[in-house]
Amino acid sequence: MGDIANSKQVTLLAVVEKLLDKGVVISGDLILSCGNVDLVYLNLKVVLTSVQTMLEGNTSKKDVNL
Amino acid sequence: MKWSPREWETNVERLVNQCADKVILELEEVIMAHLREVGEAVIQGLFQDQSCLGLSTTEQRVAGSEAKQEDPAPQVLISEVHNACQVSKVCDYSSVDPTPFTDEEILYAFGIIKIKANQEDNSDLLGMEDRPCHIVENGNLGMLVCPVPRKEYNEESLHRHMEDMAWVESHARRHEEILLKTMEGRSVIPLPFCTIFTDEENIKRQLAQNTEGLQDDLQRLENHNEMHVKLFVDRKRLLEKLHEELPYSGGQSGGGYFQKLQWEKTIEEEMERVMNDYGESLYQNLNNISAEVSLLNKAGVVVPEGQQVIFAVHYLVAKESREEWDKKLAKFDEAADPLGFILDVSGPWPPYHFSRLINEEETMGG
Repeated sequence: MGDIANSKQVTLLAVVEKLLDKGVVISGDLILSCGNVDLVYLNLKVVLTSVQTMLEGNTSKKDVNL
Repeated sequence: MKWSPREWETNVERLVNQCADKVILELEEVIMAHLREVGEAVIQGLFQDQSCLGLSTTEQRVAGSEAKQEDPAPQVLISEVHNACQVSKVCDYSSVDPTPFTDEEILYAFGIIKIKANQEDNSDLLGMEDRPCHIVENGNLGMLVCPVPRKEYNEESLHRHMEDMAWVESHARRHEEILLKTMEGRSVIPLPFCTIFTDEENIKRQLAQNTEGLQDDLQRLENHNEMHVKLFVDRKRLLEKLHEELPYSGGQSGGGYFQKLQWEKTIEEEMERVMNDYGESLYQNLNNISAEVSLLNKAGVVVPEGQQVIFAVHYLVAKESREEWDKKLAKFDEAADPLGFILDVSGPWPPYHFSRLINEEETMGG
Protein backbone atom coordinates (compact mmCIF):
# COMPACT_ATOMS: atom_id res chain seq x y z
CA MET A 1 0.00 0.00 0.00
CA GLY A 2 1.00 3.61 -0.32
CA ASP A 3 4.01 5.17 1.29
CA ILE A 4 1.80 7.96 2.49
CA ALA A 5 0.75 5.91 5.52
CA ASN A 6 4.36 5.71 6.64
CA SER A 7 4.74 9.41 7.09
CA LYS A 8 3.90 10.34 10.64
CA GLN A 9 2.99 13.89 9.72
CA VAL A 10 0.50 12.87 7.09
CA THR A 11 -1.08 10.48 9.54
CA LEU A 12 -1.37 13.34 11.99
CA LEU A 13 -3.11 15.31 9.29
CA ALA A 14 -5.50 12.41 8.80
CA VAL A 15 -6.18 12.29 12.54
CA VAL A 16 -6.72 16.00 12.78
CA GLU A 17 -8.92 16.08 9.68
CA LYS A 18 -11.30 13.64 11.30
CA LEU A 19 -11.32 15.27 14.70
CA LEU A 20 -11.77 18.79 13.43
CA ASP A 21 -14.73 17.98 11.22
CA LYS A 22 -16.97 21.00 11.15
CA GLY A 23 -20.20 19.11 11.72
CA VAL A 24 -21.36 19.07 15.31
CA VAL A 25 -23.59 16.38 16.79
CA ILE A 26 -23.93 18.05 20.14
CA SER A 27 -22.43 21.41 20.82
CA GLY A 28 -20.24 21.65 23.88
CA ASP A 29 -20.21 24.62 26.23
CA LEU A 30 -16.90 25.40 24.64
CA ILE A 31 -15.83 24.22 21.20
CA LEU A 32 -12.93 25.14 18.97
CA SER A 33 -13.73 28.25 17.00
CA CYS A 34 -13.31 28.28 13.22
CA GLY A 35 -10.31 30.52 13.76
CA ASN A 36 -8.64 27.91 15.94
CA VAL A 37 -9.39 25.14 13.46
CA ASP A 38 -7.86 27.23 10.66
CA LEU A 39 -4.85 27.88 12.87
CA VAL A 40 -4.24 24.14 13.27
CA TYR A 41 -4.50 23.55 9.52
CA LEU A 42 -2.15 26.45 8.88
CA ASN A 43 0.44 25.10 11.31
CA LEU A 44 0.07 21.60 9.91
CA LYS A 45 0.67 22.96 6.44
CA VAL A 46 3.89 24.55 7.63
CA VAL A 47 4.99 21.24 9.18
CA LEU A 48 4.05 19.28 6.07
CA THR A 49 5.82 21.70 3.76
CA SER A 50 9.02 21.40 5.75
CA VAL A 51 8.70 17.60 5.76
CA GLN A 52 8.13 17.66 2.02
CA THR A 53 11.29 19.70 1.56
CA MET A 54 13.14 17.21 3.74
CA LEU A 55 11.81 14.27 1.73
CA GLU A 56 12.76 15.94 -1.50
CA GLY A 57 16.27 16.31 -0.12
CA ASN A 58 16.34 12.59 0.66
CA THR A 59 15.04 11.66 -2.78
CA SER A 60 17.77 13.59 -4.53
CA LYS A 61 20.33 11.87 -2.33
CA LYS A 62 18.88 8.52 -3.28
CA ASP A 63 19.14 9.41 -6.96
CA VAL A 64 22.80 10.19 -6.54
CA ASN A 65 23.40 6.82 -4.88
CA LEU A 66 21.65 4.99 -7.66
CA MET B 1 44.12 90.06 51.79
CA LYS B 2 43.17 88.79 55.20
CA TRP B 3 41.04 85.78 55.67
CA SER B 4 40.68 83.00 58.08
CA PRO B 5 40.07 79.46 56.92
CA ARG B 6 37.19 79.08 59.40
CA GLU B 7 35.30 82.11 57.99
CA TRP B 8 35.85 80.88 54.44
CA GLU B 9 34.58 77.48 55.37
CA THR B 10 31.39 78.90 56.91
CA ASN B 11 30.75 81.06 53.88
CA VAL B 12 31.14 78.18 51.50
CA GLU B 13 28.86 76.01 53.59
CA ARG B 14 26.17 78.70 53.66
CA LEU B 15 26.34 79.17 49.91
CA VAL B 16 26.16 75.45 49.25
CA ASN B 17 23.16 75.11 51.52
CA GLN B 18 21.35 77.98 49.80
CA CYS B 19 22.03 76.46 46.41
CA ALA B 20 20.95 73.02 47.52
CA ASP B 21 17.68 74.34 48.92
CA LYS B 22 16.93 76.17 45.72
CA VAL B 23 17.76 73.18 43.55
CA ILE B 24 15.61 70.89 45.68
CA LEU B 25 12.68 73.31 45.54
CA GLU B 26 12.94 73.60 41.79
CA LEU B 27 13.20 69.83 41.39
CA GLU B 28 10.18 69.34 43.63
CA GLU B 29 8.13 71.69 41.51
CA VAL B 30 9.11 69.89 38.30
CA ILE B 31 8.35 66.48 39.76
CA MET B 32 4.97 67.55 41.12
CA ALA B 33 3.95 69.10 37.82
CA HIS B 34 4.92 65.93 36.02
CA LEU B 35 3.02 63.73 38.47
CA ARG B 36 -0.11 65.86 38.17
CA GLU B 37 0.04 65.55 34.39
CA VAL B 38 0.45 61.76 34.42
CA GLY B 39 -2.18 61.33 37.12
CA GLU B 40 -4.76 63.24 35.13
CA ALA B 41 -4.07 61.21 32.01
CA VAL B 42 -4.39 57.93 33.91
CA ILE B 43 -7.62 58.92 35.58
CA GLN B 44 -9.09 60.05 32.29
CA GLY B 45 -8.01 56.79 30.69
CA LEU B 46 -9.63 54.84 33.47
CA PHE B 47 -12.94 56.59 33.06
CA GLN B 48 -12.86 55.91 29.33
CA ASP B 49 -12.06 52.23 29.93
CA GLN B 50 -14.93 51.91 32.32
CA SER B 51 -17.40 53.38 29.91
CA CYS B 52 -16.20 50.93 27.22
CA LEU B 53 -16.21 47.80 29.31
CA GLY B 54 -19.24 48.75 31.33
CA LEU B 55 -17.55 47.68 34.52
CA SER B 56 -19.00 48.92 37.73
CA THR B 57 -16.26 47.89 40.08
CA THR B 58 -15.14 50.58 42.46
CA GLU B 59 -11.77 49.06 43.13
CA GLN B 60 -10.50 50.44 39.88
CA ARG B 61 -11.02 54.04 40.88
CA VAL B 62 -7.83 54.18 42.87
CA ALA B 63 -4.88 56.48 42.76
CA GLY B 64 -3.44 56.91 39.30
CA SER B 65 -0.09 55.29 39.90
CA GLU B 66 -1.69 52.09 41.12
CA ALA B 67 -4.41 52.01 38.55
CA LYS B 68 -1.85 52.29 35.82
CA GLN B 69 -0.87 48.67 36.48
CA GLU B 70 -4.41 47.43 35.93
CA ASP B 71 -4.86 45.02 33.05
CA PRO B 72 -8.39 44.55 31.76
CA ALA B 73 -7.59 41.13 30.20
CA PRO B 74 -8.55 38.91 33.15
CA GLN B 75 -12.04 40.39 33.11
CA VAL B 76 -12.78 39.02 29.64
CA LEU B 77 -11.05 35.68 30.00
CA ILE B 78 -13.94 33.34 29.40
CA SER B 79 -16.57 35.77 28.25
CA GLU B 80 -16.34 34.52 24.68
CA VAL B 81 -17.99 31.20 25.45
CA HIS B 82 -20.61 30.63 22.78
CA ASN B 83 -23.63 29.92 24.85
CA ALA B 84 -25.15 33.04 26.35
CA CYS B 85 -26.31 31.29 29.49
CA GLN B 86 -22.80 30.04 29.98
CA VAL B 87 -21.41 33.52 30.04
CA SER B 88 -23.46 34.42 33.04
CA LYS B 89 -22.57 31.14 34.62
CA VAL B 90 -18.87 31.59 34.01
CA CYS B 91 -18.97 35.09 35.42
CA ASP B 92 -20.35 33.66 38.61
CA TYR B 93 -17.06 32.00 39.40
CA SER B 94 -15.57 35.24 40.57
CA SER B 95 -18.25 35.46 43.22
CA VAL B 96 -18.28 33.35 46.35
CA ASP B 97 -20.54 30.66 44.87
CA PRO B 98 -18.97 27.43 46.11
CA THR B 99 -20.19 25.32 43.18
CA PRO B 100 -18.32 22.07 43.48
CA PHE B 101 -16.03 20.94 40.68
CA THR B 102 -16.80 23.77 38.26
CA ASP B 103 -14.25 26.15 39.68
CA GLU B 104 -11.22 23.94 39.15
CA GLU B 105 -12.30 21.34 36.64
CA ILE B 106 -14.43 21.07 33.56
CA LEU B 107 -15.27 18.09 31.39
CA TYR B 108 -13.59 17.08 28.15
CA ALA B 109 -16.03 15.01 26.07
CA PHE B 110 -14.98 12.22 23.68
CA GLY B 111 -18.17 10.65 22.38
CA ILE B 112 -21.72 9.46 22.94
CA ILE B 113 -22.59 5.83 23.60
CA LYS B 114 -25.56 3.71 24.47
CA ILE B 115 -25.75 2.56 28.08
CA LYS B 116 -26.00 -1.19 28.35
CA ALA B 117 -27.21 -3.23 31.29
CA ASN B 118 -23.92 -5.04 31.79
CA GLN B 119 -21.95 -1.81 31.82
CA GLU B 120 -18.21 -2.23 32.04
CA ASP B 121 -16.09 0.17 34.05
CA ASN B 122 -14.40 2.90 32.03
CA SER B 123 -12.08 4.16 34.71
CA ASP B 124 -9.19 2.22 33.19
CA LEU B 125 -9.38 4.51 30.16
CA LEU B 126 -7.02 7.40 30.71
CA GLY B 127 -8.16 10.55 28.93
CA MET B 128 -6.60 13.98 28.65
CA GLU B 129 -3.77 14.65 31.12
CA ASP B 130 -4.02 10.93 32.03
CA ARG B 131 -7.21 11.55 33.98
CA PRO B 132 -9.55 8.55 34.26
CA CYS B 133 -12.64 8.66 32.05
CA HIS B 134 -16.18 8.18 33.24
CA ILE B 135 -19.63 8.17 31.69
CA VAL B 136 -22.25 10.82 32.31
CA GLU B 137 -25.59 9.10 31.90
CA ASN B 138 -28.99 10.36 30.90
CA GLY B 139 -31.59 7.68 30.29
CA ASN B 140 -30.00 5.07 28.06
CA LEU B 141 -27.51 7.50 26.55
CA GLY B 142 -24.12 8.28 27.98
CA MET B 143 -21.26 10.63 27.23
CA LEU B 144 -17.69 9.55 27.79
CA VAL B 145 -15.81 12.37 29.51
CA CYS B 146 -12.76 13.04 31.63
CA PRO B 147 -12.18 15.94 34.02
CA VAL B 148 -9.60 18.51 32.95
CA PRO B 149 -8.25 21.63 34.67
CA ARG B 150 -10.25 24.71 33.75
CA LYS B 151 -7.21 26.91 33.40
CA GLU B 152 -5.77 24.66 30.68
CA TYR B 153 -9.00 24.27 28.75
CA ASN B 154 -10.61 27.68 28.68
CA GLU B 155 -10.94 29.50 25.38
CA GLU B 156 -7.74 31.46 25.77
CA SER B 157 -5.64 28.43 26.73
CA LEU B 158 -7.07 26.35 23.89
CA HIS B 159 -6.21 29.06 21.42
CA ARG B 160 -2.65 29.04 22.76
CA HIS B 161 -2.50 25.23 22.56
CA MET B 162 -3.65 25.23 18.93
CA GLU B 163 -0.45 27.03 18.03
CA ASP B 164 1.58 24.28 19.62
CA MET B 165 1.64 21.36 17.19
CA ALA B 166 3.18 19.03 19.77
CA TRP B 167 0.19 19.66 22.06
CA VAL B 168 -2.27 19.21 19.20
CA GLU B 169 -0.59 15.98 18.14
CA SER B 170 -0.45 14.34 21.57
CA HIS B 171 -4.00 15.38 22.48
CA ALA B 172 -5.54 14.58 19.09
CA ARG B 173 -3.97 11.14 19.24
CA ARG B 174 -5.25 10.60 22.77
CA HIS B 175 -8.74 11.68 21.69
CA GLU B 176 -8.67 9.19 18.86
CA GLU B 177 -7.17 6.42 20.99
CA ILE B 178 -9.99 6.73 23.53
CA LEU B 179 -12.63 6.59 20.78
CA LEU B 180 -10.99 3.56 19.19
CA LYS B 181 -10.92 1.73 22.50
CA THR B 182 -14.52 2.69 23.23
CA MET B 183 -15.80 1.47 19.87
CA GLU B 184 -14.38 -2.01 20.42
CA GLY B 185 -17.43 -3.17 22.29
CA ARG B 186 -20.19 -0.82 21.12
CA SER B 187 -21.09 1.89 18.66
CA VAL B 188 -20.02 5.41 19.46
CA ILE B 189 -20.84 8.83 18.07
CA PRO B 190 -17.54 10.68 18.13
CA LEU B 191 -17.41 14.32 19.19
CA PRO B 192 -15.04 16.86 17.64
CA PHE B 193 -11.64 17.60 19.15
CA CYS B 194 -11.80 19.83 22.26
CA THR B 195 -15.51 19.66 23.01
CA ILE B 196 -15.76 20.99 26.57
CA PHE B 197 -18.65 21.01 29.03
CA THR B 198 -18.63 23.04 32.20
CA ASP B 199 -20.66 20.54 34.23
CA GLU B 200 -22.55 17.27 34.11
CA GLU B 201 -25.94 18.96 34.14
CA ASN B 202 -25.24 20.57 30.77
CA ILE B 203 -24.30 17.21 29.30
CA LYS B 204 -27.47 15.59 30.60
CA ARG B 205 -29.56 18.45 29.21
CA GLN B 206 -27.89 18.15 25.78
CA LEU B 207 -28.40 14.38 25.74
CA ALA B 208 -32.04 14.81 26.72
CA GLN B 209 -32.68 17.42 24.04
CA ASN B 210 -31.24 15.22 21.27
CA THR B 211 -32.29 11.80 22.54
CA GLU B 212 -34.24 10.73 19.47
CA GLY B 213 -31.62 11.67 16.88
CA LEU B 214 -28.80 10.20 18.91
CA GLN B 215 -30.60 6.92 19.48
CA ASP B 216 -31.40 6.60 15.76
CA ASP B 217 -27.77 7.26 14.94
CA LEU B 218 -26.44 4.74 17.42
CA GLN B 219 -28.91 2.17 16.11
CA ARG B 220 -27.85 2.79 12.52
CA LEU B 221 -24.14 2.74 13.32
CA GLU B 222 -24.33 -0.41 15.41
CA ASN B 223 -21.94 -3.03 13.99
CA HIS B 224 -20.61 -0.65 11.36
CA ASN B 225 -17.20 0.93 10.92
CA GLU B 226 -15.98 3.86 8.94
CA MET B 227 -13.26 3.11 6.39
CA HIS B 228 -11.27 5.65 4.41
CA VAL B 229 -10.01 4.86 0.93
CA LYS B 230 -7.82 7.05 -1.22
CA LEU B 231 -6.57 6.04 -4.61
CA PHE B 232 -3.54 7.79 -6.09
CA VAL B 233 -1.62 7.20 -9.26
CA ASP B 234 2.01 7.78 -10.06
CA ARG B 235 1.55 9.21 -13.55
CA LYS B 236 5.17 8.69 -14.51
CA ARG B 237 5.07 5.00 -13.62
CA LEU B 238 1.78 4.42 -15.38
CA LEU B 239 3.05 6.21 -18.47
CA GLU B 240 6.21 4.07 -18.51
CA LYS B 241 4.11 0.95 -18.12
CA LEU B 242 1.88 1.93 -21.03
CA HIS B 243 4.93 2.66 -23.17
CA GLU B 244 6.23 -0.82 -22.39
CA GLU B 245 2.94 -2.41 -23.31
CA LEU B 246 2.39 -0.35 -26.44
CA PRO B 247 5.85 0.43 -27.80
CA TYR B 248 6.15 2.99 -30.58
CA SER B 249 7.03 1.34 -33.82
CA GLY B 250 6.99 4.19 -36.36
CA GLY B 251 9.86 6.20 -37.80
CA GLN B 252 11.93 8.67 -35.78
CA SER B 253 12.68 11.42 -38.31
CA GLY B 254 10.84 13.56 -40.85
CA GLY B 255 7.13 12.67 -40.92
CA GLY B 256 7.91 10.16 -38.19
CA TYR B 257 8.36 13.01 -35.73
CA PHE B 258 4.73 14.07 -36.04
CA GLN B 259 3.70 10.47 -36.06
CA LYS B 260 5.47 10.08 -32.74
CA LEU B 261 3.81 13.17 -31.30
CA GLN B 262 0.47 11.69 -32.30
CA TRP B 263 1.46 8.46 -30.64
CA GLU B 264 2.37 10.25 -27.39
CA LYS B 265 -1.07 11.83 -27.42
CA THR B 266 -2.73 8.45 -27.89
CA ILE B 267 -0.78 7.08 -24.95
CA GLU B 268 -1.85 10.04 -22.78
CA GLU B 269 -5.48 9.38 -23.67
CA GLU B 270 -5.04 5.72 -22.90
CA MET B 271 -3.61 6.66 -19.51
CA GLU B 272 -6.64 8.80 -18.67
CA ARG B 273 -8.89 5.93 -19.68
CA VAL B 274 -7.01 3.41 -17.51
CA MET B 275 -7.13 5.79 -14.54
CA ASN B 276 -10.86 6.32 -14.91
CA ASP B 277 -11.61 2.63 -15.43
CA TYR B 278 -9.61 1.45 -12.44
CA GLY B 279 -10.93 4.23 -10.20
CA GLU B 280 -14.53 3.69 -11.21
CA SER B 281 -14.37 -0.10 -10.81
CA LEU B 282 -12.82 0.06 -7.34
CA TYR B 283 -15.24 2.76 -6.20
CA GLN B 284 -18.26 0.78 -7.39
CA ASN B 285 -16.98 -2.53 -6.05
CA LEU B 286 -16.58 -1.11 -2.58
CA ASN B 287 -19.78 0.86 -2.87
CA ASN B 288 -21.71 -2.36 -3.48
CA ILE B 289 -20.74 -3.81 -0.12
CA SER B 290 -20.98 -0.60 1.92
CA ALA B 291 -23.94 0.74 3.83
CA GLU B 292 -23.22 4.39 3.10
CA VAL B 293 -20.72 6.36 1.07
CA SER B 294 -19.37 9.87 1.26
CA LEU B 295 -17.22 11.11 -1.59
CA LEU B 296 -14.60 13.70 -0.70
CA ASN B 297 -13.70 16.76 -2.65
CA LYS B 298 -10.43 15.93 -4.39
CA ALA B 299 -9.19 19.49 -3.96
CA GLY B 300 -8.97 19.00 -0.19
CA VAL B 301 -6.86 15.83 -0.36
CA VAL B 302 -3.17 16.07 0.43
CA VAL B 303 -1.41 14.44 -2.50
CA PRO B 304 2.13 13.08 -2.21
CA GLU B 305 4.70 14.56 -4.56
CA GLY B 306 4.56 13.13 -8.08
CA GLN B 307 1.15 11.53 -7.61
CA GLN B 308 -2.37 12.39 -8.60
CA VAL B 309 -5.50 11.63 -6.61
CA ILE B 310 -8.16 9.61 -8.41
CA PHE B 311 -10.69 9.53 -5.61
CA ALA B 312 -11.02 9.80 -1.85
CA VAL B 313 -14.03 8.21 -0.20
CA HIS B 314 -15.37 7.44 3.26
CA TYR B 315 -17.35 4.21 3.42
CA LEU B 316 -19.56 2.96 6.20
CA VAL B 317 -19.05 -0.80 6.20
CA ALA B 318 -20.92 -3.44 8.17
CA LYS B 319 -18.61 -5.57 10.31
CA GLU B 320 -19.80 -8.75 8.62
CA SER B 321 -18.75 -7.36 5.21
CA ARG B 322 -15.20 -6.75 6.34
CA GLU B 323 -13.85 -10.01 4.98
CA GLU B 324 -15.27 -9.38 1.54
CA TRP B 325 -14.04 -5.79 1.76
CA ASP B 326 -10.47 -6.86 2.48
CA LYS B 327 -10.58 -9.42 -0.31
CA LYS B 328 -11.74 -6.86 -2.89
CA LEU B 329 -9.06 -4.41 -1.84
CA ALA B 330 -6.31 -7.01 -1.97
CA LYS B 331 -7.45 -8.13 -5.42
CA PHE B 332 -7.46 -4.57 -6.72
CA ASP B 333 -4.05 -3.82 -5.23
CA GLU B 334 -2.58 -6.90 -6.83
CA ALA B 335 -3.76 -5.87 -10.28
CA ALA B 336 -3.26 -2.11 -9.99
CA ASP B 337 -0.04 -1.80 -8.01
CA PRO B 338 2.27 -2.77 -10.91
CA LEU B 339 0.62 -0.09 -13.03
CA GLY B 340 1.56 2.65 -10.57
CA PHE B 341 -1.68 2.90 -8.60
CA ILE B 342 -1.22 3.59 -4.92
CA LEU B 343 -4.00 2.51 -2.60
CA ASP B 344 -4.24 4.17 0.80
CA VAL B 345 -6.76 2.49 3.08
CA SER B 346 -7.25 3.30 6.73
CA GLY B 347 -9.72 2.20 9.36
CA PRO B 348 -11.78 1.01 11.03
CA TRP B 349 -12.51 4.46 12.44
CA PRO B 350 -15.26 5.70 14.68
CA PRO B 351 -18.04 6.91 12.34
CA TYR B 352 -16.86 10.53 12.23
CA HIS B 353 -18.60 11.22 8.94
CA PHE B 354 -21.76 9.18 9.20
CA SER B 355 -23.75 10.68 11.97
CA ARG B 356 -27.05 11.89 10.56
CA LEU B 357 -26.96 15.02 12.72
CA ILE B 358 -23.57 15.95 11.34
CA ASN B 359 -24.78 15.51 7.78
CA GLU B 360 -27.82 17.65 8.40
CA GLU B 361 -25.61 20.33 9.83
CA GLU B 362 -23.35 20.22 6.77
CA THR B 363 -26.28 20.41 4.38
CA MET B 364 -27.69 23.32 6.28
CA GLY B 365 -24.34 25.04 6.16
CA GLY B 366 -24.32 24.61 2.36
